[in-house]
Amino acid sequence: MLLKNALFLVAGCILAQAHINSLDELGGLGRKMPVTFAVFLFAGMSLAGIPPLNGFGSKLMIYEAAFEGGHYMLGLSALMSSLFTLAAILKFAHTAFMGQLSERASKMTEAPMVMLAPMLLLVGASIAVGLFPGLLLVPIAHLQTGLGLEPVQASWLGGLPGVSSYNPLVMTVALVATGLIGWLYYRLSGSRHVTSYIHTGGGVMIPNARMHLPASALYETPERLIRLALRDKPQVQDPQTESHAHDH
Amino acid sequence: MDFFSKAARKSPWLYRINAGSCNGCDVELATTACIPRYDVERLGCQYCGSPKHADIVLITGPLTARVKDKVLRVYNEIPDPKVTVAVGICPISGGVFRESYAIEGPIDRYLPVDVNVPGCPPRPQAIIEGIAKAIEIWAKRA
Amino acid sequence: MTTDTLRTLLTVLVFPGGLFAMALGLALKGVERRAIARLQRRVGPPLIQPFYDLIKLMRKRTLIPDTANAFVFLAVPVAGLASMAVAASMIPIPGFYEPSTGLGNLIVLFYLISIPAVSLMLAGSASGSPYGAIGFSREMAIVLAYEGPILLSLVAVALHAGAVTGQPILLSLTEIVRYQQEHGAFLFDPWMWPALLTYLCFIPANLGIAPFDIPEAESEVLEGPLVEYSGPPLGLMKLMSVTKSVVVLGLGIALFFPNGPAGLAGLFIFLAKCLVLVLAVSVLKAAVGRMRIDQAVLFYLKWPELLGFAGLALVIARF
Repeated sequence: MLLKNALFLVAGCILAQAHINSLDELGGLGRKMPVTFAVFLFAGMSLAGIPPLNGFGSKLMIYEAAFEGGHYMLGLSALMSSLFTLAAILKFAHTAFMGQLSERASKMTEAPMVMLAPMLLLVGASIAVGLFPGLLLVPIAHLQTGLGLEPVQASWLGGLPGVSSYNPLVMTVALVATGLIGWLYYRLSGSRHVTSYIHTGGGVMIPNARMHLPASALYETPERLIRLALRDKPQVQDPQTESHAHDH
Repeated sequence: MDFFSKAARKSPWLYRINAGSCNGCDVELATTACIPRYDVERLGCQYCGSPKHADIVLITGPLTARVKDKVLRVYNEIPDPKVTVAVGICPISGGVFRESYAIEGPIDRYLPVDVNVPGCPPRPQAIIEGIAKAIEIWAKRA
Repeated sequence: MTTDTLRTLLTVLVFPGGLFAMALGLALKGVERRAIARLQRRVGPPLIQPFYDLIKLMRKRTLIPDTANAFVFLAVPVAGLASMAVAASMIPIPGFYEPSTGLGNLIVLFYLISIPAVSLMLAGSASGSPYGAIGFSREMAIVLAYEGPILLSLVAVALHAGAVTGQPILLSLTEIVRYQQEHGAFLFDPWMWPALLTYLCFIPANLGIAPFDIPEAESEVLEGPLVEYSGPPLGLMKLMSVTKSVVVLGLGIALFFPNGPAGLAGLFIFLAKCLVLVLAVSVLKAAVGRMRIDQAVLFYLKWPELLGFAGLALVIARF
C-alpha cells in the first residue's frame, strides 16, 4: 500500500509538469528530478520484491503460505508474476528516468517540496516497517490476544513470522556490510572520475531522440514470441512515418 | 615498481581501431595473433568489445580524411593511462596510400604513438613483439 | 543475539561469503580461461589472471558518461556484489559449514540470485548508451525465459525433500543438504533427473556463458550493459559475475550432490566439485558459438520448461 501510493505520487509529479500520454515522450528525467527518481526506484524495486526491501517480506510470506498449503501452482505463478513486475518497473525506469534527455523532459524540473514530502513520508514508513516488521506485528499480536485469538509470533527486533526465519534487519545489515567491500574497493583505488561521452563507434551529431531506446522498443523478443503464440500479425511500422508522428 | 604496476604488466587489455585500413593488418590482429601458435592471451591480453575497457590500443590504417574525427573520438574514449601501438606501415607513413588526397596521416600528427610495428601486414611475431614492448611502457605508466 | 549476529557478519564478510567466495570465483574464472586455452591448444593466461585484471582495473580512470545517472551507475555494481556475497554465505558446505538462519531460506536465495541480473539491467539503462539499453532489453528477455525452469527445478527439489521428511515443503537448504547426507544424493535418484537437467540448463544462461551470453556479447552489442564501464566499477562488475558463478554452482551442488566427509575434507570435496563443474562449463564455452536472442528465449521456453514441468510432475506423482 505504501509503495503503490508512492508510485502513484511519482506519476503525479511527472504528469503535473508534462501532460503526456506516452512514455516515449520522456527520457533522462533522473538527472532533472533526482529525488522523484530515487523514490520511484525504491518503491519500484520494493514492489518487485528485491530483498531486503519492504515488498519482499510480504511476498515471501505469501509464497510460503501457498507452498505450505499445497498450492504449488499458485506459489509458482506468484513467483513468476513478481518477475513481470520487475520487467514493468525497469521498463518505466529506463524510458522515463534514464538515458538521453528528451525535448519534453529537458524543460522539466524537480517537483516542489509539497509534492516531495508525502512521497518521502511514505518511503520512510516503508523503510521503517521493512526493517522492523515488529512495529506493526507487535500491536497486531496485542490485539489478537485481546480478542482471545492465538497471536502471531512477533518481537520488536525480530523477523517475520512463519517457517522462513527470514529477518529483514539481519539481511539489511549483511548487505550493507558486504556493500562496504565494494565501497572499499572504490576507495582503495582512488580512481579519478572523468566525465566522458557515450560510445557511439565514433559517430557524432546524433540527435538525442535517436540515441534513446523508447519503451516500444524494449523487450522486443518476448513481445514477438507472445504475438507468435497468439497468432497475431506483427504490426510493422515504418520508422519514417513514426518519427514524423512524434514531431507533431 | 610498485604492486599495481606489477599486476598491470600482467593484464593489458587490447582494443583495435581501424583507421581506414585495407583490413590486412586487422585480419592479422584478430585471427593470427589469437590462434594457437601465436597466442597473445598468454601475455594476459584480451580483446575488449568497448574502448572504455582498454589499456593498449592498436591502430591500423593510414587515417583517411573521412574517418579522422571518428578515430580521434574513439581514441579519446579510452581511459588513461593508455599506450598506443601503430600496426602496419600505413599509420607510420601512409604505405601504398602515401600522398593520396584522401589521407590525413601519418597518424602521429594527431595521436601520441608509442610503438610502431611496420610491415604490410606485419608478421604475427612482430605484432606480438610490439605488444610486448607496449606492455613494458604500459607497466611504467600504470 | 550479539554473538549470533557477529557470526553471521563474519560468514557474510569473510567465509564462505564475501572474500572467500570472491577469491574462489576469481580462481575458478582463471581455471576456466586456462581450460579454454588448452582446449584450443593455446598456452593461455596464468591461473591467477583474473586477480591481475582486478588489481589493474583499480589503476584506471573512472569514466562517467554525461548522459548517465552517476549515482545509479556507480552504485549498482556494489549492490550486485553485496547480494552475491550474502548469497554465497547462505549456501551450506556439507560437513563443514551451515549458514545462519536469520538470512532466510531457498526463496530468499532465489531472489538474491536474481539481483545481479537486475543490477546489470539497471547498469545498462543508467549508462545512457543505446548499446546498454539493448543489452538491458536482451538481459530481461533471457531472464524471463530462464526463471521459469529454475523455479520449477527448485520447487521440485523442495517438494521432494518435504515429502520424504513428512512436511508439505522443505525450503531450508541446510535441511535439504542434511537429508541427502543421510539418505543419499538426489543425483542418484532417477526421479530427480529432470529437475537436475533443468538446473544444468539454467547455469549457462544465468552465468552468461556461450551459447547464451547474448546480453553481454562483445562483438554484437559491445558487451551490452558494460559498454560504458571502466576502471573500478568495471572491476566490481567482473567480481560480481565471478561470485555469482560460485553461488550458482554451489547451489547446484547443495541441491543435488552435497555428499562429502565432515571437517576440512568436506571443504576440499566441495571445491573439487566446483572445479569439475567449471571444467564442464569451459568445454561448453569452447565448443559452441553464440545463439540469437530469440533462439535462446525460444529454447528456454521449450526444453528446460518442459523438463522442469516433467520434474515437478514426477515429484508430485510419486508422493
